[in-house]
Amino acid sequence: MDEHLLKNIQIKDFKCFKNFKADGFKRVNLIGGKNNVGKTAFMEACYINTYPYESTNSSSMALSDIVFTRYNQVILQDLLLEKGNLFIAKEIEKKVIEFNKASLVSNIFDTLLKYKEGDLGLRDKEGLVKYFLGNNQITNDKLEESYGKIIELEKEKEIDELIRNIDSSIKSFRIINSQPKCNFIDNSTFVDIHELGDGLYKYISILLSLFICHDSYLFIDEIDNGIHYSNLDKLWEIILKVSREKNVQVFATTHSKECIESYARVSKKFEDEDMTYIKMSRLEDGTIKAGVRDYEMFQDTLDDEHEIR
Amino acid sequence: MKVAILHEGNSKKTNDNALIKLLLEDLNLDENRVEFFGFGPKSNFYKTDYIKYKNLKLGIEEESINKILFILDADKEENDNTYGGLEKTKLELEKVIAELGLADLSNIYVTCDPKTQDGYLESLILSSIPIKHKECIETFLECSEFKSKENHKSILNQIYKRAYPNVPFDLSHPNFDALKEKLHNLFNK
Repeated sequence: MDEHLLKNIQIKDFKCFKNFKADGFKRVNLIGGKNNVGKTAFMEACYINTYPYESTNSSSMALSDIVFTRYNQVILQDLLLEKGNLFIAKEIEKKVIEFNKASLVSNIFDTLLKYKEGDLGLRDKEGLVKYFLGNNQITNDKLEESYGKIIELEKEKEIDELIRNIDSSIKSFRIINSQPKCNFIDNSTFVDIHELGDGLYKYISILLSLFICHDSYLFIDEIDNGIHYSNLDKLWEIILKVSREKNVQVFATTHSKECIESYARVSKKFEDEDMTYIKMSRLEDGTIKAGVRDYEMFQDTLDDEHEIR
Repeated sequence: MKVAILHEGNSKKTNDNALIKLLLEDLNLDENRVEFFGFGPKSNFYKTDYIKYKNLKLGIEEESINKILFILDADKEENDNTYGGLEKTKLELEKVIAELGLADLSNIYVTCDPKTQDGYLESLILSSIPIKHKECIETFLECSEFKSKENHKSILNQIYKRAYPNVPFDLSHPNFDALKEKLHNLFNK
């Protein structure tokens, strides 16, 4: 059931990582740490790593996907020329792939021609969809595409019910004329959800992605951005519940203590031990360390009120 | 960089580290630089796979902790053949610290009555009050039906608080000097 889960990673010469190893990942993984310690880069490396090895094409598409989410083409080219080769291994001391610089750049630009906006969901050879939700909002196009799949799965009612967890006044969510809209229990007129605030939009993006990425992976950068702290428990309840039901491995980043505490509280409430908290730190010699805390270590750290961010 | 103080009991329950916090304040040492690890019962200090040690070691690897002070009770030798009394408490703990690879960062303070070299935190506190009062309390405890160690500890706390309501602890008493020195060393670079 959970054979696809990424349990460890080795990263060499990728962005801020020189020779980095981390292991012990579980179904849901929250990543914290100070600014510029490589939280998002770590997640990007994991994302690239979920693509099949057989095809450098596929892996470079993944790379272009996440890089395009954060950088423009010029920076991307500079980055690749500067870094030269990229090495990523799925399991420590197992398979290491060397990307040829020239072909990688060419593949990336081919890919860039196909996609105009960030937050792409790509389908690999096995037909699995994996999403990388960047810090910026997911686009309406992407949301529409995702909702199309929800309709195919006949999950609209389930989605409506889960949205009501966050806002009980909402009756239903629909995409009408390519615009995401909601209507209300006491008012059947559909309203553009952009008018209802960023939090709801983000919540719906995450929710739909969890359904679409069944038996696959979901990566969420700055998960709590736009979400009011009082809704964090509800968000984590949905993530823990749906990721288990749909067999989705989730990686997410945060800076927020409230988000980390909420994650601990909800996993404890659900007795869901299939989770980790990963604290990224930059050590004195400049190397980056990922401190992977399993459920027991994480709960104990918070019980003792230790600094965890 | 922070320092770690490992002590018995709960890190959030005030009784278990109240004296340490007062001493830190008295010595003008920044409590915010301390991560308290509440180890629960003394026996947990001797389990190398205890969860607190896992978190402590990770904190050291992350370079967020660079010094450790272990503070635990001596207890009485007659009550505990393995870890009872000052010497055995220290000796056995040193073995654990070496096994964990923490010897270079660690220091130990065993709480007891400095004279008898046994007892617990409350015995140390009691040793700082006038001898007449101390004997009076000890006689009361001996005559009482409160036999267990935990009962003694809480009764001692209550008596102490009632007898000295305005001074929680006489921190200037020389019996606290050894602990003060350990705390100073903990904060020294």
